[in-house]
Amino acid sequence: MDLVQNLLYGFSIALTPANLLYCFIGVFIGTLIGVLPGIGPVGAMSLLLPTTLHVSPVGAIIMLAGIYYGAMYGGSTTSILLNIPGEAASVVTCMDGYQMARRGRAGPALGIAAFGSFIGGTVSLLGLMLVAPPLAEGALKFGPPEYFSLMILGMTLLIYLASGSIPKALMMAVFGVILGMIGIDPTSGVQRFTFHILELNDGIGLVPLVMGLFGISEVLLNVEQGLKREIFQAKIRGLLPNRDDWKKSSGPILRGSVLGFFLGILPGGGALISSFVSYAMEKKLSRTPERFGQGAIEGVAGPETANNAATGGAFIPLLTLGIPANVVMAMLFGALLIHGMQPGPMLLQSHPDLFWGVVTSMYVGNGMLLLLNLPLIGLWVQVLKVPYRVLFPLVLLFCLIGAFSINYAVMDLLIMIVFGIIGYLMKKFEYEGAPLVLAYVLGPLLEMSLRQSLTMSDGNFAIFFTRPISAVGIAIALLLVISPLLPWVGKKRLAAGES
Amino acid sequence: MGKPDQFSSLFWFMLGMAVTYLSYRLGLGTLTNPGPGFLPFWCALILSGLSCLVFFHRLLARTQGETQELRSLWQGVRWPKGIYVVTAILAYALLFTTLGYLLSTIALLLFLFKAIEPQRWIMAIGGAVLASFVSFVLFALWLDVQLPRGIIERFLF
Repeated sequence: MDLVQNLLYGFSIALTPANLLYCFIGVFIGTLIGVLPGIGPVGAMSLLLPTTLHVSPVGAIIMLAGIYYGAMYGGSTTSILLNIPGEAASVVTCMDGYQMARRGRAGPALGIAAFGSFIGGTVSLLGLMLVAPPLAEGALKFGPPEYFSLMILGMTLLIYLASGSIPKALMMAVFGVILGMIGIDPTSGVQRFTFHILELNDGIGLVPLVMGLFGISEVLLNVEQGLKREIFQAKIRGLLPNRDDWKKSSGPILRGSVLGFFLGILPGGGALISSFVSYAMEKKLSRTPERFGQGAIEGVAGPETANNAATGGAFIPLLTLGIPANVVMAMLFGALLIHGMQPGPMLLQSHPDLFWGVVTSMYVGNGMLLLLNLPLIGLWVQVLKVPYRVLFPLVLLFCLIGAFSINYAVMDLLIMIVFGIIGYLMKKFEYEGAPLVLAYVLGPLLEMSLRQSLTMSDGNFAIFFTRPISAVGIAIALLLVISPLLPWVGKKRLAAGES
Repeated sequence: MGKPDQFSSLFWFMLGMAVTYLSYRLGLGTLTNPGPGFLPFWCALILSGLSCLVFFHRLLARTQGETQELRSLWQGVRWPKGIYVVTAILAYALLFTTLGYLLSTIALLLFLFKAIEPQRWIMAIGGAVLASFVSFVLFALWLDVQLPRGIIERFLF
C-alpha cells in the first residue's frame, strides 16, 4: 500500500509540466549523445550540469538521469547502422546489430533494441522501487568503518574491471583521491595543495574536471585522428520485429533485465559490464552459438536490455548508501551536492520528492524513449551525417560556456583546459579516467570516514576488520587486488580483455 | 607499451614524491587524530610505489624484446591540430572577459572552422556568427547565464 502511495506521489511530481519538459530534454539529448560518437553520457552530463543550476534539484536529476538512460537507447543506433558504438555500453551491439543491418534487417535490429531497452529499463525501475527503501533503512545502521570499506570496495571493483592495466587504474584512483583533497581541509582548516591560489581553496570543481577529462580530451583525440564515418546506406524498413524475432528475443530480454539490474547495483559494474556479460551468457545458452557474430537477434536483444536495466540498478547504491556505483553516478552525486542534497540513507526520508519523483520520471522517460527512437530513426540518421568538423567546435563551445557558468571564473576554464590536456595524455598513455573521477568524488567522504573510524577506535585499524560488513568489504577488495597476481585468474582476465 | 610507460611512470613517481613531501609538511597527526597530510601522504606513497612497479615491469618487458618508442604515439596522426585547438581555447579563456562573449566566440569558431578542417569562408563566417548568436540567446537571455558583455552585446542588447 505504501508503495502504491509513494508511486502516486512520485507521479504527481514527475508529471508536472516542468518536470515532463526536463525529462524530455534529458532523454532527447541523451539519445542524441548516444547516437553521436565522440562524446558519451558523462561528457554530455558534464556539459549540461551547469545549466541544471537554474532548475529545481528534482528537475536537474530528472534531466541528468534522462541523459544517462537515453544515451543507452541512442548508442544502439550507431552500433547497428555504422558499426561504431555511440557509447561504450553499445560496443557489443555492433557485433550482431551491424551484421543484421548488412542483411537488410536494420529495422528489426533497431526495433528489438528499442523494445528490449524499454523492458529492461522498466524491470530495473521495479527493482529500484522494491529494493531501495528497505536498503536505505538498513544503511542507517552503517557507521564510518562500513562506509569506508564500501567505498574502497567500489573503487577496487571499478579498478578490477578496468579494461587495461590494473596497476595503472589503481594509480588513477589514488591520484583521484589526492585531487579530491585539494582545497581547505574541512577538519583542520588548513590549505592543502592550493599553492596560494585563492580559487583553489574550494578545490577543483567536478564540472571542469570531467569536462576536461572526457569532453576536451575526446575532441583533441578525434581532431588529430580525423574521424570519418560511412553510414549504412540502405533504406530502413519495418521497425517492428516479427513473431520469430520476438520468440528468439524473449528469453534474452528477460535474462538481460535481471542480469543488468543486479550487475548495475555492484559498485564498478554498470551498463558496460552488463552488456558484455549478457552477450556471453546468450551465446553460451544458445543451441546455435555459431550464429552469434553473423546477425543473431539474441546478440542485440540481450545486451541492449541489460545495459538499460543496469541504469536502474546503478541508482540503488547512490540513492540509498550515497556511494556512486560508476562514473555516471559520480556525476549525479556531484549534481546532488551542488543542489545542496547529501546522498545517503537519509535522502529517502528527507527528500522523498527527489527519490520518488526521479524513479517515476524514469518510467515516463522510458516511454518517451520508445516513442522517440522508433519514429525518429530517420532524424538520427540525418544527425549522423553532420560532419565532425562542424560538431567539434560546438562541443568545445558548450564545454567553455558550461565550465564558466558554474562560478563565472576564468580559473574554471583554465582548469578544464589543463585537465583536457591531462585527459588527452592519459588516453595516449593508456590510463583510464573513470577510476580517477570516481575516486575524486569519493575521496573527501573516504577521508572523513577514515578519520571518524580511527577516532572511534583510538587509532586502531582493527575496527575495519572487527565489524562484519566492513570486514567483508575489505576482504573482497583485497582479494580483487591480489587476484590478478594469481596465474589462472590473471590469464582469464587478460583473455577477457583481449576478446 | 614500452618507453611510453617508462616515461609516464617516471612522471607519476616524481609527482608522488612531491605530494609525499608536501603532505608530510602539512602534518600527519596521530593515528587517533589524523592530520591534514595523513591520507594524501599514504596515497602519494602508493602512487610512487605503483609507478615503480609499472616502470620495472616495462623495463623487464623491454629486455625480453617488447619495445615501443615514445614517438609512435604521435605517428600517423595530425598532432599539430590538437595544439591549435588548445592554443585557441586558451586564448579564448584569457581574452573573452575583456572582449565580450560574442566577439571572442565568433573569433574562436571562425578559427576552428578554418584551421582544423578548412571550410569555405562563407560557411565558416556564417557558422561562426550563427552559432555565437544562437548560443548567446540560449544561455545569456534564456538561461540567464552571466556571459561577459563586450562591444557587440552593449550595442545590440
